[in-house]
Amino acid sequence: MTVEMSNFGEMLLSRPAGREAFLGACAYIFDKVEPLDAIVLDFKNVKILAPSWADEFVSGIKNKFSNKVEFVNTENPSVKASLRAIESPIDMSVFRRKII
Amino acid sequence: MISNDIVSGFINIVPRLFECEEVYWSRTRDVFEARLQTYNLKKQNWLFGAVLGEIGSNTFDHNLIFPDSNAKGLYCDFEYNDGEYVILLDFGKGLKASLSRIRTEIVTDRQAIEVAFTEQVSGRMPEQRGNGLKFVLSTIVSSGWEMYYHSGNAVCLADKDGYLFENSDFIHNGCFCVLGIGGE
Repeated sequence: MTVEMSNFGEMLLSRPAGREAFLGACAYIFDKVEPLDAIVLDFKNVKILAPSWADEFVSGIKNKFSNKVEFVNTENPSVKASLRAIESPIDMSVFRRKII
Repeated sequence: MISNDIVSGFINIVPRLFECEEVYWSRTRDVFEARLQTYNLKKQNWLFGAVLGEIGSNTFDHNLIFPDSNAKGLYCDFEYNDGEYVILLDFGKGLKASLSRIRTEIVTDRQAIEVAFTEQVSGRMPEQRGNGLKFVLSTIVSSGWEMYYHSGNAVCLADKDGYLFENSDFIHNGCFCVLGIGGE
């Protein structure tokens, strides 16, 4: 099953909006997913993805369904960075200024 | 790093923000998001838009009630210093009050700002969240942008060379930040 994420908007910002999108998807999209289907999130035409929105939506799927989740069309820099932020902890030590 | 002149120039006008034009204030989340979308469509820097969205959302995620009802919401100046910087400010509870609820060892603003920007923790535990400011800081450094973030008497500074923390003589009850992306 492929989900066109731009159906939720071009700018996917804030936790409440991400939560609302997830609940809507559960009612009208994920009700048709088969147990062995991968859920493919297609970010084509999404301009902004914030990590808080992504966390609500993607974590919602992972907590509720056992299906594999895949991402496509993630070239947009905000999509790429936000998915990376929610998929694995950010090691902040590498960004700390080195004191010489 | 963002120059002292820029930061001190803004700090000098903070006491007068209560009286400034209403157009700078987003009293509720929906107003902030609408203004941010307008700014994003104009600038078309989508990654910077995500950074602004994360910082601005924190004001509304963590301040259901504001200590001073005259300063409810988020002050946004998307064109500070002739458009060189973006400023976001609130008079909310600030990082220390938010985080010390769930991390009782946090007793200073400096401890709170360091935890907020470097550890996976949220004042809204038991919700599983708390990567927003890590995303902000890592994106600022990776992109070579500049940030000055202030809460209480503690400051986080970041640019292309990395981030560091400092104490300040100025005490701000809430949070504010100055963000610059150079010529982008």
